[in-house]
Amino acid sequence: MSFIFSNDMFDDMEFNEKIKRKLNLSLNKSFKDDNKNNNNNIQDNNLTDVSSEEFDFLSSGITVTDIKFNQVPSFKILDLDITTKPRSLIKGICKISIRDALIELSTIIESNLLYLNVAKNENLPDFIKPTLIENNSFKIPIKLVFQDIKLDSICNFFIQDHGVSISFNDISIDFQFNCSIKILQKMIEKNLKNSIQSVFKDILPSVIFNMSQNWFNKNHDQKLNHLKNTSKNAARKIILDDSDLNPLNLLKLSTIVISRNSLSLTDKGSIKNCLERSNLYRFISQLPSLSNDTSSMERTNMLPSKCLDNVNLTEIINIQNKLYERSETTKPKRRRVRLNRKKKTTESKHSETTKPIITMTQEHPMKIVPTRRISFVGINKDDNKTHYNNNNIQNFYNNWKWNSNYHFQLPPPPPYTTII
Amino acid sequence: MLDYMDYIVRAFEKSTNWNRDSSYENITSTSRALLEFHIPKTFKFQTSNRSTTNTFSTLEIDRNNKINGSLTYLYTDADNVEKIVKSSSQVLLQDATETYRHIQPFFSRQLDDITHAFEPKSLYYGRIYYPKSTLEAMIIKRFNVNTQLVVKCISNMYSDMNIMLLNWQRTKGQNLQEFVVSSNGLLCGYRVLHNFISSPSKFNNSLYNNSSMSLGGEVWLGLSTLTPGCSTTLRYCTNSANTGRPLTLTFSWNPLFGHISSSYTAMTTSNSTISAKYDFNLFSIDSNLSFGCEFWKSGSKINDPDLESSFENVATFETTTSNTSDAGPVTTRHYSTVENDVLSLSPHEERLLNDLTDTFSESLQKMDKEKSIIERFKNKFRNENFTQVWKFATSLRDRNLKILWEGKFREFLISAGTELVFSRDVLISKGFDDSNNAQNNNSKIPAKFGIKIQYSV
Repeated sequence: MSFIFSNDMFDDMEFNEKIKRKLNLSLNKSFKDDNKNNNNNIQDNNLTDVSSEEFDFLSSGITVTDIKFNQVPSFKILDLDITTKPRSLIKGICKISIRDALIELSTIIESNLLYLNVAKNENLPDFIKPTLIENNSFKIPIKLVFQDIKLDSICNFFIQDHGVSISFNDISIDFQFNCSIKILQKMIEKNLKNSIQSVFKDILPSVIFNMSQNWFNKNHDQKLNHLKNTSKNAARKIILDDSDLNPLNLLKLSTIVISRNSLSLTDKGSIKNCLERSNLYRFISQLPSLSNDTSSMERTNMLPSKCLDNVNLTEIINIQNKLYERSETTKPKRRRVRLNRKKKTTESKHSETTKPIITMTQEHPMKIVPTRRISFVGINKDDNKTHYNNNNIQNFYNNWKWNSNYHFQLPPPPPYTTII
Repeated sequence: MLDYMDYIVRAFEKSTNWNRDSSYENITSTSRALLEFHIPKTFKFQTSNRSTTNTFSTLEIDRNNKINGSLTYLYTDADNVEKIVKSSSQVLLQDATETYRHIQPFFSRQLDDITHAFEPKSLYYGRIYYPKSTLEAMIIKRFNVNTQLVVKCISNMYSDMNIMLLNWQRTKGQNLQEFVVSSNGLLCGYRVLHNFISSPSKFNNSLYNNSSMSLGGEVWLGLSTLTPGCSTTLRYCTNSANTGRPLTLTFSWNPLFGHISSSYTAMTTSNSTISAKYDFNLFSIDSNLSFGCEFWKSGSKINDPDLESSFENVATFETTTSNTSDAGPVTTRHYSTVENDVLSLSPHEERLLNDLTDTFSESLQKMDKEKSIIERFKNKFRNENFTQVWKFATSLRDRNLKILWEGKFREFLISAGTELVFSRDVLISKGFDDSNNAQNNNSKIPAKFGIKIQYSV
């Protein structure tokens, strides 16, 4: 196990701007979401959290006007213990120290609390509201400056599969606090000092743990979120992601469907390059193959050339080409066709005598797209009557025996079709 | 438009001779009625009934997304309430709505307290809302001439909103002190209002002085949150000597938060009132200027003397005397009628006084003339049969325009109003931010619209 700590990120002091941006963003979210902030702003967070529990006297958002870390926060690992079995677990002790940091916040508060509680309180019915004369809102802009923040802490951390847990042990924090309203300065300072212990003991560890859980379960969460989305949207997304169902194809499919919406008993004619599933059997039966050879009783596995007379060969080739092209997007798995040796010799003889049409070379490997239920068995040996020549190349193709003939996708044509 | 039950409560106060204007709570009620009037938000229908001479009930239906309703019962043992309370067909519009408050000088009220023998009176009020199951209850107990206790409770079984408000009011001479305790945040408050006796001053050009000056203050403290609040207000009411038109000036100051506001309200004619208010904050230099006006429109004249403003006639002793005297020619007789009640004069003293009267008859006649002008103006407004009133209010800071129409239509009291908001900031702060509104930024956006119909027998 290894990790990289990139110090460069802190060297150019750009992180000051980043923290400022993030703080501004998170402080002005609803106060409930404030827990998701990073470590540096927790002191400030606590301030707003405490206030928002009582009543909402902030009449504007909190803006971080300035933030400055003059020195890079130092991070010392004092002890590290990594165990991978039975579960991966990293234990460690480290020392964090921040020096000379400055945070400046500004906001507007409603100072007339009686106005908030009585006059503007919408939960209170008019019936019970006492009438106060000259009880108006009084808004004061307030600026809080934390200077010379010094933080030294030793913390234990455990990193497990599901999250990070940190406990702070020796915390010494010191800062100079300046408030634009001097009357409130002492009170705020006192409250801050009291609450800082709880920040490091309770709030910060729980925030980090929750945050780390989010990181670790990010993928899982994303899935969950995806499911949480309305099922409508999710379904739409899946459909549109599929490249096969592009608008053109959908249009084609819809035309097919529409063409079938007819009371006519006779076939309305076919669409070019399309085959209806209901017509598949007929198509197959018409397709020249060994299985549907009527004369196969006499000559086993042989296909007479007359079988092909009533078939428009070019159309078949077109369909096959189409299928091949379509399936070419996925790289076909090459399957070796076992040829009988004896037959190979005869074939080679033929090739010597007659002009060979098909050569299974490396440049033109026999590309066969296997579908699940189609397999090639081989070429019949006793083919003394058929000759692979220019005139009846079809026979060669017909000699491939198809073992099963249902639920299938037509195999793509061998490269010889291109020769034609 | 006043809620029917508020109307009864006011009738109770009139019947028991309790002056609501001497409470610090209502020191700015005139400017509030003109500038911060309540606009109905929903469609509301209210039907009320006086079942017996002492009990009143109201049924209210409120349409706001879903239909809500409420049922109210009220019992009071005060005398003459049945005479004061009028049905919606007979009530005068100026009694049924919040409008300019005519503040009587202090001495006139002093008379009432002396002359009336008093028995303890009370008012019980209960209201249940459905389907929200909120229960409102109020008890007003007038122990004696000087003290009154108001207890208000609200209870909701769903939202844990159980609040109780106690208001102990005590009037002594020129002062009215109030202690308020609310269980909501343990809010405690103390209010006091002092009425200066208005007497003809040396510097006053006018001999008849109908002006009154009051100074009040309040202190509040929320014990649970330690939130303080305080304010002090000066009010000055007078009538223009030439025309008799009343005007009210108030000046409020909140020392804690530095708010200062001053308002000026005047009845320009017998059927129009204008008001202007200027707010300023000493600390933040925030300022606001508000304007409000109302225009009354009268219908056919009424000759029936019974239909004269009930509130003024039954309760206020001073007004009744002036009404009767108004009928006759302006004579010196007035002086003695008013003053005789205060000082029970012996025949000798009376003769001396009459001698003096004869001596200063000229100035006294002038005074009577002034008084009659003022009274006539007031009674003109009081006894006019108004059928409708338009109210407008605008504020420069909020950039809004509030419009309210209140009127009598057949036997119904109708109030319909809307608030137009011209600024986007206000909309956002009120939670009306909408993407549609964002596009037409500068157009008038009605933030509120509502109508309220009242019927009572």
